[in-house]
Amino acid sequence: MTPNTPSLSVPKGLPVARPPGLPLEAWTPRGLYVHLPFCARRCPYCEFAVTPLRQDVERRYLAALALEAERRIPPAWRPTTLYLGGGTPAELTGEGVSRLVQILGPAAQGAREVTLEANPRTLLARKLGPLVAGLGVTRLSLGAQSFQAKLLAGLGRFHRAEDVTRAAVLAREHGLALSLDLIFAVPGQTSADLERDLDATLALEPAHVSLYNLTFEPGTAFDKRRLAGELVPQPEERQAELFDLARERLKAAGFLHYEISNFGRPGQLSLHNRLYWRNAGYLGLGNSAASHLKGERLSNHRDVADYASALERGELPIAEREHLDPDAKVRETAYLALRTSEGIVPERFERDTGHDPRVFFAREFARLCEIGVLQDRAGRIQLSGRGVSLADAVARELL
Amino acid sequence: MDQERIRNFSIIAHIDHGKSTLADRMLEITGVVSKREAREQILDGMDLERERGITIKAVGVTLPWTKDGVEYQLNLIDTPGHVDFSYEVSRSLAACEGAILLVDSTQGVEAQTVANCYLAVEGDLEIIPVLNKVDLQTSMPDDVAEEIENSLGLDATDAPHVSGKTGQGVKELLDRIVDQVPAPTGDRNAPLRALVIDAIYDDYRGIVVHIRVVDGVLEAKKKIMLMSSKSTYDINEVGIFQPKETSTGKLEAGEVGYFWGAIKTLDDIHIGETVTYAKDAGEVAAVALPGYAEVQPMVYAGIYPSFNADLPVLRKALDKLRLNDASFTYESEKSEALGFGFRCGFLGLLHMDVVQERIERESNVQMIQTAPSVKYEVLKNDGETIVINSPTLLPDPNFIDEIREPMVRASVVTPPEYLGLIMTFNEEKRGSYVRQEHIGQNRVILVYDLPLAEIVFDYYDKLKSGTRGYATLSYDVLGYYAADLIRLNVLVNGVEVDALSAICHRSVAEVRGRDLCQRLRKEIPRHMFDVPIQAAIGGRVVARETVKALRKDVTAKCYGGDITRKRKLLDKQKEGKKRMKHVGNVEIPQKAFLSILGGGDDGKKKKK
Repeated sequence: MTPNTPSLSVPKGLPVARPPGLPLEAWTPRGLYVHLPFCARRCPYCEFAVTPLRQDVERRYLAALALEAERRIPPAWRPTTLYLGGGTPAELTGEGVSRLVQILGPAAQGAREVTLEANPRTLLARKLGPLVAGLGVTRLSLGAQSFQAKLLAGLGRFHRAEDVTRAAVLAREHGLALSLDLIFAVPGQTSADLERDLDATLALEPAHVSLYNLTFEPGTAFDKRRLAGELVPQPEERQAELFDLARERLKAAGFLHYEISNFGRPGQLSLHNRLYWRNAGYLGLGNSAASHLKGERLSNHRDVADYASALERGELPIAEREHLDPDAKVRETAYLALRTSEGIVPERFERDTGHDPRVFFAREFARLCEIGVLQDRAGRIQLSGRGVSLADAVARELL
Repeated sequence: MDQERIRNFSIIAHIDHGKSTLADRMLEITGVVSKREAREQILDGMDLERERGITIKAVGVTLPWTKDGVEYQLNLIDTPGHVDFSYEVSRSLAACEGAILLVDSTQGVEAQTVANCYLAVEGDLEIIPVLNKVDLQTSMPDDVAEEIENSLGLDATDAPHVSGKTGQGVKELLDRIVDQVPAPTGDRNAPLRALVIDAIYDDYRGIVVHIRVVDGVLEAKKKIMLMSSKSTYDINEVGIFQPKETSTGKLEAGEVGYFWGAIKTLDDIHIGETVTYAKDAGEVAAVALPGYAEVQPMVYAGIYPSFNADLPVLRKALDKLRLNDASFTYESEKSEALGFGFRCGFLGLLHMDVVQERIERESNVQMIQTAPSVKYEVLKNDGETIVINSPTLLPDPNFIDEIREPMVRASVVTPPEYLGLIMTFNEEKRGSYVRQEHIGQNRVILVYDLPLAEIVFDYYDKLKSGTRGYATLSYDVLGYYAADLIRLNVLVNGVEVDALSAICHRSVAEVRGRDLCQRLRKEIPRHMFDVPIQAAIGGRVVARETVKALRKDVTAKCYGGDITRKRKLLDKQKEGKKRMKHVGNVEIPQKAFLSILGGGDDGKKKKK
């Protein structure tokens, strides 16, 4: 063990005095994120740390993950949420699934929410079964993206609408809450296209919908095509219109718009993602995974080989650490909270950060409220309807 | 040296006609510098000048030359070739008896050829027309000689044909200078009188004064007196330029060189000053030499640090610059929009550019420059006349009887096919026709009286682009004339932005206001709210544009809890905003403050 190993002390109550400017929940990690980077192929818009599935790579990766889990998960720790993201976790081989269950089984005991990300085409009952049985999966997050062949082709997805339906049935058979990912503002997408996608989505009666605005991330194939003039992003105005259309439809269908890109039926909001927005504590395992522990933000090596090598050498796979000063912490807490419909709840904010937000941000709030992107209503500070589309602009005012 | 064997001369030319190259050949041929030493254009000492191919400061250099077995001392006094610096030409010429009028034989007579030649004629100098670049295939010496005769009334039939590049004809030209330029005729036994041609600041020696001794003898280690201020200074060293300073111990009547001593700042000495001895050091001259009028800045602009904290650094840079350039002025100024900065005066747009570039280069301070304007005279209704150098200083119209603006007589030399276009353009610019003159088969001089403000606004760029670079311009200030001028105010999101206001003629106010609003609309980024941009005269809005509110500025994902990465992205975006200026709730990029300029995209004027 290297001397600088940040062991995650098991919280029995609060171990030491909590420093100011640190949310209560950041001190006591509640969530565990595990990154599984394997994908059948890389989608041209995706910039996550993914790698093609190869059995030898999978073995090496899971061996490294086991080492990291052993080093970083304290024996008696029981996270409230577990999130298996990627990549495509459900794409592991049968052997890989068993290994994963072995590694995470103890920690997953008693988790209230266990989410599994999956691709509609490659999700198989023989993989899902052991994962549900071994890790207690409660939620399936399915990358539907669209239900229309032309848009799926445009996005470089290889599944078809029927695959989503099939996977949804499978989820239901295993008693899982279903969450569907949709991508909008795809070049060429019309309002009617989006309406059809929403119809198809609602027909599957999901518990949760994540609605992502297509972005052209630097380095992706999509961005290269954009720079070459082959792909023309939808105009900003149009993107906003499509977003408005979708959120109205989903709200009308009984969904709560509880975070910029997330909609859930009451009682079905993602507990794990809420930890991020509350600036709470979580542990992330696997390549590129991010952690927030005792006020420190850590992120692992992005590259699978770098990640595995570090652990094989007996080191932690941490590439970056960041310790924010209290002032920066306060600001970050505020901007993350504003991404949610809950917004900033002054009492909790003050408990977590030691500052009354209405005092700390008096000038900023006054200006943003005057502009009409923020509102202070019913005891909370939230983005207005228009402000939701401008969350980053608002964030820049607060950071 | 015997005055009989001294010749003092300048080379005058339009820019790019090869003045510096010819001077370099002269230095080389007279052995002042070896071929090996001969860098390109030795006389242009400053980097910036060399880069831009312009000469800003006058420099004198002494060339030994033997003709028919007799040794001569030829003093070449270099002159700037740009319209902004014509006053420097005239002061160089005041130290000479002769001038070489250098004309590029591939180009012909240009506006500055004419303007500089007139200065030489006024100075009663012997003028030798010389045709340069005769080694080039496109040379047309006969046509150009005819142009010289037609436009300047000089006999150019036996004008020397030279090539500064190859050295062809340069020896012969040096002989011609000996033959044609009169020797100086000062009285070496009379009390000392020396004309100050230039003064250069030097960190170690203080001010190095360039002089032409007219009467008497100037010796080192004596005490001199400046005749205008009666102040006295000890001098340490006297010498000539070869081209580096070479101490000679004394300078006699007719000679050109330098001295330095106890003079520490440029404010102590004026160009055109007469130097004599202090009472206890020698005989005091009774009458000063005719000096020249103090040069006045013609163009004013605000210079502000991009970051307020840089204000002291900027002030230091301006101080330093002023040490070497008395024609540049500055005073503190405060803008509502830009904070604290300086109102700076320049000889012209090129001078402004050169100064700005030098500050940025030497001090590393990023700055915002507001659009240039001219100086106005305002007759108030209480009878008082004030002079303002910034639109923000214009009093309320209720207190104004009359506003007067500087007018210039502008001469454009152009191929005849562009005449119509330039005349239309001049009319648009409120010009009034004076005369036109054909000076050759392919060349016309067109003279108009124009408001200087129009020239500063965008005249030069438009003239150049409209004539594919063929037309050349020179101008002389005529004086101040009343005009129907108003202040055009700009309001961004309802807040008046002082740094964007401009004085313009009532007849063009609406057009200019619209144009300005459109430019600003493109420069100001979208905000979370609509940003109206208005141009107004008094309370009357004459133009309006709106920067529509942002509709969407949000990242969909939080990168799987990688908050750091997301925040760094936001921080980076925020960094870009820091450089903007805040006016009310609106962030205005620095570039926008130049958008009031009509000319080039970024308001920069390149080499002219």
